[in-house]
Amino acid sequence: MPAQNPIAAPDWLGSLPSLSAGSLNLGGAESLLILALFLAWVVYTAVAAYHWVAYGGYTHRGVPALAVHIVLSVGFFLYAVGGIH
Amino acid sequence: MHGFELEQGEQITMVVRRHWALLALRLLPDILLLAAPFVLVTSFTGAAPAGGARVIVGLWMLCLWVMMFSRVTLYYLNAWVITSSRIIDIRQPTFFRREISSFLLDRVQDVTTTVDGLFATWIGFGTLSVETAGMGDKFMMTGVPSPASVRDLIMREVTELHGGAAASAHADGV
Repeated sequence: MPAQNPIAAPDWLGSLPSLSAGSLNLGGAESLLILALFLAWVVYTAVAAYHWVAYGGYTHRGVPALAVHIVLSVGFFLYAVGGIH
Repeated sequence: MHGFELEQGEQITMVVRRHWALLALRLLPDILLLAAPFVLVTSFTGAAPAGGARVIVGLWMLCLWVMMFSRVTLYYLNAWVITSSRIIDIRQPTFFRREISSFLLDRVQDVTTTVDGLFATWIGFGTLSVETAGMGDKFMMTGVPSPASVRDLIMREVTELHGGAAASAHADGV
């Protein structure tokens, strides 16, 4: 029976993306997940914009609110994507 | 415009929403949750999130922000619109459920305001309930800012409506 190092990390651990440093290499599944999240965000933003604009009277507040939403969302998204190699 | 049509000669007197402090209170846990992973990763690793952690933290913040924006949107979509002849109650608990009910001011029998608790007294919000004659319905809105002034406004509109009706009846010789 071959000798085993009892404190050696399992092999599969090496295949996980690093969570502490460096950058994340995306596989197909992760790319699809990011794309799905982005599409969900686009649909959500369209629905929210429709409500702000269609139920009017709110337009003078709706436009700045949507602008803030888009700027912050894009900021968070770019921050997240910045971790991808 | 608000999802309903105004009658001819009808004018919007006031749009009432819940007090902004109640919205702020609801957003507070979201803000803490938004910042939590960034603060945790930074405090444990001594550096800003990088790589996979940065992706997860970024997407987490995006999801939290979407939730917060939904709360703000629904806050603005829920309102009481007081016009010169009726009160329109717009309720939108979710994006795809919108209820609009209205009742005529000449049916208003009683308007009650309740300010309950230290926080409500300090900030200045309360519950406004309007009872209508005949239908036995009671329309209620919680968290109304300055409920007494809204009650006074409704009563003033009711008085004007009755006064106008009495004057025209008098002019017609009834």
